[in-house]
Amino acid sequence: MNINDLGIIRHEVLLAAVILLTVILSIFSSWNRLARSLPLLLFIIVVAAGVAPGQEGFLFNGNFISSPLVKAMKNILNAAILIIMLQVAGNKRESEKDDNMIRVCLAMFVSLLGLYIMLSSGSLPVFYAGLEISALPFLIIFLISSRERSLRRMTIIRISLYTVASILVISGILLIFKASGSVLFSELIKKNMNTPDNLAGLIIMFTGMTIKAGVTPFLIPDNGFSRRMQISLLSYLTVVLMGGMFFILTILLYSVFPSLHIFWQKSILIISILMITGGNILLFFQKSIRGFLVSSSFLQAGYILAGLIGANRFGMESMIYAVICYVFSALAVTGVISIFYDRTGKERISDFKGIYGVNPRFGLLLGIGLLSLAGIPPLAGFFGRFFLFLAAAEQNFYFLVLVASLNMVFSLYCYSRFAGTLFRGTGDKHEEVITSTPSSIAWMIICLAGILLSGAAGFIFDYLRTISFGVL
Amino acid sequence: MGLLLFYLFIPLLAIFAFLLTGNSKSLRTISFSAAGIQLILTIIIFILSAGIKTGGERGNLLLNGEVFWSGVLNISFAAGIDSISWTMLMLVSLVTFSVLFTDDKTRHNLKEFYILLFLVIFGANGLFISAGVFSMVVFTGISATSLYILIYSQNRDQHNIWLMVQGLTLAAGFALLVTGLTGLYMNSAPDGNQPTFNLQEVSTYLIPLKAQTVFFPMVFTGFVIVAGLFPFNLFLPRILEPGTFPSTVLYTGLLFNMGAYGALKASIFLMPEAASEMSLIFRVMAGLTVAYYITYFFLNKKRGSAGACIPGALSGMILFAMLLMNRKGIMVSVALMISLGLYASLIPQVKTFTGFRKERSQKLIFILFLILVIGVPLAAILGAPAILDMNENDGISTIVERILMKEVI
Repeated sequence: MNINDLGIIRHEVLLAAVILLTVILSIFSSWNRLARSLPLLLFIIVVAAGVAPGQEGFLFNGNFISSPLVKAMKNILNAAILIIMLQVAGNKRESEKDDNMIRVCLAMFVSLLGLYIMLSSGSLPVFYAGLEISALPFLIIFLISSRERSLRRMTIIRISLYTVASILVISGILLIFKASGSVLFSELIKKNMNTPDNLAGLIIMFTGMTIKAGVTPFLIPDNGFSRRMQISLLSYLTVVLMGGMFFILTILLYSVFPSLHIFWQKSILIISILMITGGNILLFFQKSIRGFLVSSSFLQAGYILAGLIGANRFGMESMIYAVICYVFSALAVTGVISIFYDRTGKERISDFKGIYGVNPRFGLLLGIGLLSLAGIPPLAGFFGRFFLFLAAAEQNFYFLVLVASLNMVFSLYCYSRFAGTLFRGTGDKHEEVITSTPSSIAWMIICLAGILLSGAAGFIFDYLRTISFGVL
Repeated sequence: MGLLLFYLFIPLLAIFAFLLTGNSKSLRTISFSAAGIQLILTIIIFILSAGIKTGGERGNLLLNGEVFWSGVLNISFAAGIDSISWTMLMLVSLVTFSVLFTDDKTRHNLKEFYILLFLVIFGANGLFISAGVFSMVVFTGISATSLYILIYSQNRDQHNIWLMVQGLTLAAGFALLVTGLTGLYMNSAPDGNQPTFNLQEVSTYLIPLKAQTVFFPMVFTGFVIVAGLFPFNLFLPRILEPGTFPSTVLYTGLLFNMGAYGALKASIFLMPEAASEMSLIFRVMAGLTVAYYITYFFLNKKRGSAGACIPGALSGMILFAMLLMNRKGIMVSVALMISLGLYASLIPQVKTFTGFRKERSQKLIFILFLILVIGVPLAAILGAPAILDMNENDGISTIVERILMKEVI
């Protein structure tokens, strides 16, 4: 590796530098207003460097890969993080003022670094290292929360699950290595993976990965842990981590296990239907905001998964497009909720009754975000979902399309019930009028533009076609 | 095509202007100006298209063109008009004026009301100038969703359970439309050719019968359910009774026609074989809808029930006529769509004119009903080429030729 190769690894190097600087800042500087905005400013540099044209290629004997597809995926995640950081910067609660920003930023940066490494991994051990790094901040949060007696039992379960997940991933990787004699993606793709050992390895590895990235943080949607977690971190989990995991899943399935596509297509069919239906049921019973967000992400994950079933180029591009649409819609919702929680402590859906009457801008954005998540045209959510269905239909998975479409009716009920609450009545007379800060105006404009214009931006789809690939 | 895009720009500019102002006088001035410009545009387009036809051009759609949304998927926003869409655009202008002439004092959240009204108009205009199934669905979605929110926000009884049921039927309609659209797209071209949503391109190819049988009912019922046409809108009187005039006028005069137009152009036109095979089932359902509304009207003498029942019965008649699957049927159905639009637009004006005195207004409404429901379809049948079918390759003729295509094949 020479100095010119730094361009290939620029996302990771810059983010690691930002993490280091943020830690130093937190130790040595008095945490004044300027210092609080520094992580945001530093991250803007990472975002800008990521978008800038640069080198792509292989490093470390093929263990690290950078391609236009991977770069685009990293940039989408960066954009989502930037929006969350703007949301955090807009929070004004006195109790959280001092160390909220740094805590949230560090957790997100470290986890994002893990996602970067997973996306660029060219071998299974590097992928595993990325997985551990991305889950590390949440392990730390579990350990901190274990100090509270009421949360101790749940924390022990979570840490045990986390450990079991690590063991499962390692076992899966070892099994694949034993069966195929390699851990490098470039070699695995040339081998016949359609053997019982490889199949077992794949199942065990993905089970571990799912537990680590999905089940552990969201074990029970509305428990003590998620109540303690800040909404900005919940936004990260439900939007960035989920989106990142979909990208990684696509890369692994399409470029490492294409020969097993019949098996994973069938698995995706079942899992997707279960997630969509289960997500709807969970969403229906939610009364708290956090539970609603987690259930909603579970439901949306089911829909996004439907795109992968196509196993072709169209499937990949529609999945990436759906993630882009989801990012804007979900972050609009979590952003408004987070600002209300920050200023007024609202935690239940019923607390949001009539907020449009007092805070029309926030109420309107939340309503539009919810309708977009429900998939109402012409909002981003409709376009994202429609192309996922089209990708599934292209491979004749009409049954999945029909089940998913019918579930849309139920999910619309759940989302519009919440949206209706915002506009019902005139709200509490003592309701606080939320003042906008420059950062809150910025993220609101970004999210609103994303929701309204993603549908019209067909060129995104055309660009994604040039960088995507398929199995079939 | 450039001229047709003004149908989208005018409502959007009006919405933008509404956002910048808060006083009711400005809101009314902007809305009347926008509606006026739209009416002038419709007249200009009529003159232009008549000129094009006199010049000897023969084609399905005039002033057509397309802007690609995605080249790789062959999805575009295609626009163009024929005599049916021009007539519908004229109705949109009339309905807009009708709503604007009703009294503002009965409304609350005036700014939101005007924004939602022009979103409904934007969607309706978009549907009627669209020459692609995908954009037709998107514009119907914009219009229907905005109208449902408008009805909800203007309804005196916001806890009305039927409002929620109506919202759910909208979602159910979309679910069917989305599934139907995916199937329609995948089967829209012979094997090896790029699929498309473009109406003209799809109509050059006959979709396989097996696919038609599966996807025709989805697209057809999808459109009619989204528009609340039949058979799931039996609770319509309960929603519109406590509502206001604008809600009723927009729902019955615009959304009903949008559903019928979508069903005609996106399902019957593109999948005529399946439409013909299944027409009996849907005719029975349409007939039952007519019977339901007539019964409801005679059993409930409550104020406002006629406002929903007469258009409801008319909507059933439109679908019934359309599903006869012959020239006269299609002609009568388009004529009834015009009648429905005119009826819905004129009722509030008649009531205002008679000072809301029940006896006088009832007599006038009865005469109006007779003229519109019997007179317009009769005129359409007797003088169709002059009124609706401006040349042999236009509007209804194209659809009828397509319906009869299966017999030729």
